[in-house]
Amino acid sequence: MGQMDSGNERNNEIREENENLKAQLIDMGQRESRMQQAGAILRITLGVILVVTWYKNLQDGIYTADGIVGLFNYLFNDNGGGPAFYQAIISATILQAPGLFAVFQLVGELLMGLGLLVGLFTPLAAVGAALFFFNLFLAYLGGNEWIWTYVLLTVSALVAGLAQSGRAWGLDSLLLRRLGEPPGGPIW
Amino acid sequence: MNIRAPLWPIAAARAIIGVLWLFSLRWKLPPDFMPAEGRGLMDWLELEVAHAAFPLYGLFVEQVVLPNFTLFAWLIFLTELAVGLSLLTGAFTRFGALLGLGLSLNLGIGLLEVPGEWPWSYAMLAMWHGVFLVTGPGRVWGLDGLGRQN
Repeated sequence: MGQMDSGNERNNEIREENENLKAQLIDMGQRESRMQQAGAILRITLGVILVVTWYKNLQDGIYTADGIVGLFNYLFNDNGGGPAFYQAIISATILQAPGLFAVFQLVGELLMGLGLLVGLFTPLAAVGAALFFFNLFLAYLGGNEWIWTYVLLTVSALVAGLAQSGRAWGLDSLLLRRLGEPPGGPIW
Repeated sequence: MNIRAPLWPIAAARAIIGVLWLFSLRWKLPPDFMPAEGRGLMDWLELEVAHAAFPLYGLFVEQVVLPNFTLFAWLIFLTELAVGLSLLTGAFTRFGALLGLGLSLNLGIGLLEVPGEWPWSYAMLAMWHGVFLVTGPGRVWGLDGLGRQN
């Protein structure tokens, strides 16, 4: 009888431990899901910002050779930003072929914006956006604008990418379900 | 399949945004809340009145805040200092995030129509504080995590 009682007690203890473990796992799962959703909110906001700005730039004629030259003239002369090394790089590359760069910018900005908005190939879109925003950070550095805007944008894009935020409320979740983990690196 | 999101990127962003708040204090330092050059707190408040997106808000700044400038300047300075330190060190992060959310929304509402301001900056700032409020990132690389371990 005594042995049976102690066996029952042990069973109860194990059951209680299991219940506790289960509760902890559910709590952790909820927190992780919350983090992923937080990443998704960042991603969608960035996507909206990029697409809205893309449309405004399109209307303002920024994605043309003249538009690109005018933009950098404004940044370097009127706004007074951009460190010397950055100005030298831009002058030696983009300003040598502004028409080509305008097309690249037109397509690239739209793809990044849409990718982030719908959560498709999010890490790729986010890395592209982070580089683009860091480029803007350099272009505006030392000028009249609030430089932290570009810090916020760059950090938001990096976090959206690192969190693989397309796996919450995004098309990357469908890719993950259909194809599993990407074989060639974290591209969704 | 990895469907988990790590907290450390959000914790890193928390520290960076903490630095943002502390860095922004340099143009509203007591006792006069003015920087050596450029615009100070009083100038920004006057801009909010001149370009108020919401007339009631502009009226409040004009009739209540500006006549009691020193009181409100201290209040803003100390709140921003608390938010900056909270986010940088990861101490009482959710409370710091809540204060930061209020400050960000206030900035967004006040500066919405001020020429040269980009409203998305404040939308992002508010969004980040919302993210901190929900995720509590002081648990990673922060003092909130120490309290939890003990």
